[in-house]
Amino acid sequence: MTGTLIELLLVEDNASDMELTVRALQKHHFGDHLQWVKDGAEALDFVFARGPYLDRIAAVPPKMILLDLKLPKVSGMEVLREIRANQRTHSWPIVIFTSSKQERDVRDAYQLGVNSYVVKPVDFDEYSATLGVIAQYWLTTNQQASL
Amino acid sequence: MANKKIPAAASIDSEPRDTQIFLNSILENIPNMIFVKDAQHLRFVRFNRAGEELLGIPAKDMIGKNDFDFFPRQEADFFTKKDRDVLNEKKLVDIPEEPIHTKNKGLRYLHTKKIPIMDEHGHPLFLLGISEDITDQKNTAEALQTSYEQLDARVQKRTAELTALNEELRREVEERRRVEEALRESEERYRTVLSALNEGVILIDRHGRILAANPSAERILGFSKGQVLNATEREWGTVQEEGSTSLEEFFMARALRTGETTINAVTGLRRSDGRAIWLMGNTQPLFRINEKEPYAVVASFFDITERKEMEAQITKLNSELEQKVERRTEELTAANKELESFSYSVSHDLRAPLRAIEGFAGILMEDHAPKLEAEAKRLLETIRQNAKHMSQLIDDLLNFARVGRHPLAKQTIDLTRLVQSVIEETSELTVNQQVLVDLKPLSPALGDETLLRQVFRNLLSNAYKFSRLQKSPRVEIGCSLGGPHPIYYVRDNGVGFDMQYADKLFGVFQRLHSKSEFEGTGVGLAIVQRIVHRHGGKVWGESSPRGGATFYFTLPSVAPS
Repeated sequence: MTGTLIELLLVEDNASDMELTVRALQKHHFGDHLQWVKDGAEALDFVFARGPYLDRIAAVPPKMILLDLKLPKVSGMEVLREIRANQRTHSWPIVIFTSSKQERDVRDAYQLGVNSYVVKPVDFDEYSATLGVIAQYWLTTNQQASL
Repeated sequence: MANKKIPAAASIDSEPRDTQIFLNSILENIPNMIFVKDAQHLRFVRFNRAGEELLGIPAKDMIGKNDFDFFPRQEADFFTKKDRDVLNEKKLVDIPEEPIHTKNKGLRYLHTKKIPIMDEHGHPLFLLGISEDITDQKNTAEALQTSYEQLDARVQKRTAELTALNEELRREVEERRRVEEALRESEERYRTVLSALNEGVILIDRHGRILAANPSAERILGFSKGQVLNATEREWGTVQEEGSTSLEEFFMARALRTGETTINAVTGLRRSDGRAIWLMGNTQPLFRINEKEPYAVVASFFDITERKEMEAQITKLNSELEQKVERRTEELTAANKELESFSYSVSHDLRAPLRAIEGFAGILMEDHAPKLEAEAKRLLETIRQNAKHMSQLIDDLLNFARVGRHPLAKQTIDLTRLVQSVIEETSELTVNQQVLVDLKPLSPALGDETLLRQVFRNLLSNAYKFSRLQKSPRVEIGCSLGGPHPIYYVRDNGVGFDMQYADKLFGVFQRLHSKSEFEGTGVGLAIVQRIVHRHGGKVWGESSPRGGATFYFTLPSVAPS
């Protein structure tokens, strides 16, 4: 998987949510070129091409990072901050995808420069539809900045 | 004059010559007037030289003449009458004072003795008169008398003056005595008052020496009886709150230095016995006329050591209390934080499994539908419904918790407009029903707009929900005035509720209808109650047996401006 094309980085600690997300994306034909990482630390390794992801130093940036907030080791908010703080990665598209409806979280995320904030619906049909819209937009509609 | 020729007298010619000369010489040289008249005609027969000198008439002119020849008639009558008395009574007559007009010396006064001179048969022959000129004596006496009288008058006047003066002095002395007595009494009164005073009072001179002190002053300043006098205020030092020596001036010293009156000055001082005490006192400098520096200062003070200690105690208690409050606040803040992190967990962690349950049940239904019996599909659907309901419960509970924490931003709110916008907002709830919404004018209220919006949203949602089975659902929003606060209400003509359970209406997760009849989590009214209570209002519900429910609540009214 080194250096392979990854369009979507999914940062999700909950395996069930990961499976639901992957299934929903596949349903909308966006399941390819997806990388799943289980915590914030691994997400940063991937983004900054460290540790197991050393070979990604010259890889094409993902078209979207789908980021959960509550993560082991390094929180989603911290991941967001570090990506935005780095010159190489600071304009990468990031969508928060979380259960939290907390106003504070929404405010903080936007202050740190998130591109979108989406609350995970409990209803699977809604969940699936929502992910379809997100993927459609960021993976196909949105024009990414070239580096 | 002794050689003058003595005139011969006929009647005494028979006397021996020497004797006669001798007698004549005596007669002539005696300084008193001596005359002899004959008894019969009272004519002068002898008249000596002193007589001549007195009357200014030579003896030769007198001889053979009588008184009427020389003197005024009245005088002559008097002399003659006396002469006759002497001759008739044949004895000496003493005339102590008789006036006589003389030729050269004017009016003179004589003391005259007239003596009868008899023959051998006892018949009067002659009348002998001896007159002493007492005019000078008389004048002297009169002068003396006048002088005496004047003196007497003066003495009397002086005596009267002295008596008056004396009286005045006596009165003055009496007055002074009375004043002194009054002063003494007054002083004693003051002394008694001073002795009885609980306040210490001292008088200090300009060197700080104590001139006078009452017993309380001795007690407070720590002197044994009578020892306070002449002590100086330098015998104690001022101290600070914590007991260390202070450089601050003792207030009496300051009054001495500045000449200013001090009121309620507080000073700590160390007594000679080492005890630190606190005084509160007033000082009043005393001035002599035309002197700028006070010659003394009166200071009154009382011991506030106990009060000061109590104040310190209170300060200590206060600071302990503050610490307690701080600690409690910290605990509460921590608890609050914990609660927040709890609701964060609830919102995040509890939803994930629900999503999994719902999601995988959905996937099962979708992906494996051909293999599932109808009953299996129904059961899966029930699982999904419950998961969704639980998600709603979590949302409502979090909302309820948020309402409790939400800081109140109170302002005057036009409730009519607010409710109008809530009606528009919730119109999607009534798309399938023809609800007649009657909004009456609402009195403005003081409150938090976001929260009050939530109140009306919840009450309207309920009204729509519970009246949707009616043929012509009707919801009325209004307010009644007349009480101390306006009472707002939301009334529907829906199913109403059993008043028996009215007290359960506002409990969290309390429902009076089954979920199959009316959906809901039972948090809406609990949120309404929490918001109204936070505004200091009351909320209650009523239902009539024919159905229909009315929810009332009060809010603090806006004071009319």
